[in-house]
Formats: sequence, C-alpha cells, structure tokens
Amino acid sequence: MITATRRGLAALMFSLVIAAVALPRPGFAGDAAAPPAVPAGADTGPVVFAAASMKTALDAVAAAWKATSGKTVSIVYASSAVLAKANRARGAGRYIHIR
Amino acid sequence: MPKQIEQGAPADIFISADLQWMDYLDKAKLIRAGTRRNLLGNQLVLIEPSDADSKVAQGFDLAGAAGDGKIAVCAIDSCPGGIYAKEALEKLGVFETVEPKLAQADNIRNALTFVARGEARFGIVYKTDANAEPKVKLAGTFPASSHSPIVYPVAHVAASKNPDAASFLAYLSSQTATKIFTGQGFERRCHAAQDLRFC
Repeated sequence: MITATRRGLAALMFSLVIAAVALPRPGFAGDAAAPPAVPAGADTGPVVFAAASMKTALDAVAAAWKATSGKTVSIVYASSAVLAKANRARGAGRYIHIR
Repeated sequence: MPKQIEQGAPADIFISADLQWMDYLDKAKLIRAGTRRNLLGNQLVLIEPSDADSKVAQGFDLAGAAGDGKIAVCAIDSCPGGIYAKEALEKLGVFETVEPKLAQADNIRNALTFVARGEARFGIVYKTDANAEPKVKLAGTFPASSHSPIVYPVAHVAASKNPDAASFLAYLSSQTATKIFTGQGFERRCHAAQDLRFC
C-alpha cells in the first residue's frame, strides 16, 4: 500500500505546475517568441522553415521531391516572424532550442 | 525547471509569407547572395463556418455581422497574415470598429482552426487556407488594392551546410511543384526579388 506523504504530494504538485508551464500552449499570440522545434532526423535532408500557410501544399511538394530524389525534407511551419527571429538567433550562434 | 537544451541545426531554406521577414534576414546577411527570389502569391479572404451564410457586399458591416462573436486573425503586429488583415481593414475604414472583436492567433493556421471549430464567427486568412479546410467557407475576398501584395519569397540560408538544399530550392520552381502550389490556390510570382507581378 502506497502512503502519500506531504513531501511526496508537494513534489507531485511542483512537477504538475512545471509541466503545465513547460508544455506548449497552442494558439496564443504571446507564444510567437518561442523558437520552433526542428523535427527529429532533420540531419537526413535539408531543413526548411516555412510560413504556416504553406503547410498543405509544401508537404505535397516535399513528398513529390522525395519520390524522385529519395531524400527527405524536414519542414518547420510557424509564423514568418518566429522563423525569421529563430534563423537570426541561430545565425548569430545564440540559438537555444528548448524542449 | 526541467528543460533539455540543445543547439539546433540552422534552417537550410526559408520561405516567408511576406517580404518584411525576408528583408529582416537579408539585412542581417543571413541569406546567400543571389538565391532570394519571389516564389508565390496569395489572396486575403474573409471566411466563416461552413454552415453560416453571410451576404457580403460592398459596405458590409463586419463588426455588426460578428455580433458577440470573434473575428480570428493572425497576430496583427507580427504575423504577415495579420499585418495584411490590419492593412485591409484600415484601408476599408473599418479597423476601429472591428479591432475589439479580433481574436489574434500565433499563426494563420490557428486562426483558421478557430473558425473551423466555431470559436470565431469570422476569420481573415489566405485563400489557400480556406481551400484546405472543409469546415469553413469563403464569405468574401479583400480587394488586392486594400493591402500590400502578398508575396512568398524564398532563399537559401547563409549558414546552410546541407548538400541537397540547393536542389530542393530549385525544385520549388519546377513544373511539378508549381502545379501543386497553384492547385492549392497559390499564384506564381515573377522570380526577381524586386518584381512583384504575377507570372
């Protein structure tokens, strides 16, 4: 039988608060400053940062390119503002990707 | 705070939804000289849930039609779609009445989702977004003269080291890619960075 201690409950509550803060919150304009995540396996092919509005079409273009070249394109979609700022930070060697 | 911090690989190719953010990188010398070109164009549209039926005509009272509902847009001070939306609303003389009803999303696809889920009465997005979502329909198209030309420039990032990046960049202008893009509702733009015409 597991006995819940006061310290254990406090640790659990602390973890839940941290998780709630650390997890992404989709849809809010205030999140625009967070750097986008580069998908796993991005080193297998070129990485494209593209405006979110291109997703449906660019995914199809990437699939067509893979069919002819055998290469995989990794695409990060976000607001152009977020992508440009992330690119600039990376270019200056200051980029930090937080997961 | 539990974080995993890593150095991310830089992007190889950047495609922006407006000229401003490409200019931002260009001025910082973060794109390869000679690789920047205009790839695509788009149109700005007003959307509503697919079961709605607004009669949009010249002089349409957008704020009034929204009632207690929201008008979803991308962030009007930073996101290209939001910037175009604000320009159009200002040019049409309705920004002040509409602004209190704006629900600003961090990217245009989230603005589209707000309308698709019925969380917003209207949305201002690109025509290609409206085409991609069956739960919304077109209520109207903003005149091209009401906002800056919608241009998607593309460039090879200066820090790129991937040997396939140039090949994919070229592929974006291929016949196959063009057919996919135009099939989704995008328009071809003339390639020269200073040329904003449709081609």
